[in-house]
Amino acid sequence: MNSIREQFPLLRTYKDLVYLDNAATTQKPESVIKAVTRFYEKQNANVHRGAYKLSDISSQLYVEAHTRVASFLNAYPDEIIFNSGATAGLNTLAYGLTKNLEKGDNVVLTRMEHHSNLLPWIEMSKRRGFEVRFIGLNPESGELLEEDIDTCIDERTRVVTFVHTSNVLGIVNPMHRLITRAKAMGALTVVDACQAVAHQKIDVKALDCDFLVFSGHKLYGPTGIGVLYGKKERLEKMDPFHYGGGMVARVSDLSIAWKDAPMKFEAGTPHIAGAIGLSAALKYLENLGWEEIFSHTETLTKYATETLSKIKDVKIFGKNAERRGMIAFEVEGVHSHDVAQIFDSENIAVRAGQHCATLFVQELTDNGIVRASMGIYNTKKDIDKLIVGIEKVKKMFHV
Amino acid sequence: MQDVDIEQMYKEAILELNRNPLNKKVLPYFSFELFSSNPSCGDECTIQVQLDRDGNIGDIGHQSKGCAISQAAISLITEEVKNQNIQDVKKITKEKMLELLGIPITHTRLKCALLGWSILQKFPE
Ligand SMILES: Cc1ncc(COP(=O)(O)O)c(C=O)c1O
Repeated sequence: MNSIREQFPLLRTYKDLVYLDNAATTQKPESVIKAVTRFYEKQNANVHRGAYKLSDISSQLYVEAHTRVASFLNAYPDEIIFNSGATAGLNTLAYGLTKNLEKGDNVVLTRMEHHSNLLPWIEMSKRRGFEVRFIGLNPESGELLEEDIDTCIDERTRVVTFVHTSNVLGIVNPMHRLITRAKAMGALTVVDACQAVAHQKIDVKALDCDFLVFSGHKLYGPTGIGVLYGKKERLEKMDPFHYGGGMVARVSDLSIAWKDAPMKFEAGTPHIAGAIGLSAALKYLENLGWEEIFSHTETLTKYATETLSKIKDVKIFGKNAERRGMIAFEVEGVHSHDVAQIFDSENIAVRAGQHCATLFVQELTDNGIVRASMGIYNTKKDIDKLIVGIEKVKKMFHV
Repeated sequence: MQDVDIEQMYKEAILELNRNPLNKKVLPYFSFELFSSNPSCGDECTIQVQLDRDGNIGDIGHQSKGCAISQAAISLITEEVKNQNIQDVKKITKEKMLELLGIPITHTRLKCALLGWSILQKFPE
């Protein structure tokens, strides 16, 4: 996958940049940038509104984007809702799925969640009185505690919501186990697939989850566009979170009939260019081949783990767990921000700190975590460059 | 993209303050205590101040964790304000704090450099 870098204008601009912050956001291939530009130059009009030709074109492209996302997830197009990102999706679900919950009911999360899959549920629990429970983590391996899955999820559990692949350590959670237990207890399931989608094709039918969310910018699409998938029958029963134009079938003074999903959940003018950009990103990734992408990530993750394991004074977090797409570590005795700053002087871009998962990270270390996350354009050379960075840190800090 | 001079940023004086911070201690008696943090980095700092009869800072101590820049900055500002009147301390500008630190600071590291200073700005008069 060596020539891939050439297809990314930003990476052509910064030839020496070693971009390893893909879990935060990915760079955009030329085809995505072009699709967005083409839309604004040649296709721009509002959707589902005008009778004129341009509106027809943009509406069609917008519908096609739903279809492409649906096929990526093995879902139906009317099960795909576009919004501004995973954060919007998770807020919509936290609001919509807890409407009728009461004291005695509970919602189950994990200690691994990104703040966007934590704070909305905490806020709703304050308003509605249900309990929020956490599946704990094994402090050594970083993995979910198996026994907590059965004890936390019980007959009063209404929703189980969890990250597919962790944005902190890259740990892949036991999806089947979690979903089976939730279903056995009659609870709905929500999957945060933000990190997973960058590395693999997702099959919601095989997973059999009720809902799934992700953000377009993490899989080479534009910022500001995200996806909320919901099983058709679930979406029918859920109330919207936003209210506005385009979502009603009929309005009288007192009664409103919603259109069917996805329109019911897409009030207001949507991010049409974003949806088209996301669609272009999926097309680009399909052309590369999902199997190829998956194995590329696996190879790099494994290589990074092997390489960094050999360096003294480097501690890898979640080293022996099933991990994907990233390596999280610390240089012992050095704060992660200092590490990232020194890496930057070598043109290596990584993320440092708490990764929107304060509680989890604080349990692991006082220094914050350095995270190098891989994308399709990264190579083993980029990982080797990490070593150069680490050696420089050790030299400067006299480790 | 502008490069910072990394050798300047992590010059020996800064690293020395990171290894051996000044005033990192718990005061047995203190007049005020305030805490602040940078949630995204995990930097945390508590500063205790003991005021003397004239309202001057007689002793000062901090308990903090964070990156080298924040540790050095907290050391320098706590040293700077000793024996100063709390009202004068609150007049210390952001620019002055950065001058004390004396190294190039990027936009993203500003909050590290200013953590200790920002706590002192919040002390009651
Ligand atoms: C696992 C996970 N969930 C949710 C989010 C939130 O995504 P966004 O900020 O695009 O809404 C992120 C992104 O940082 C993430 O990594």
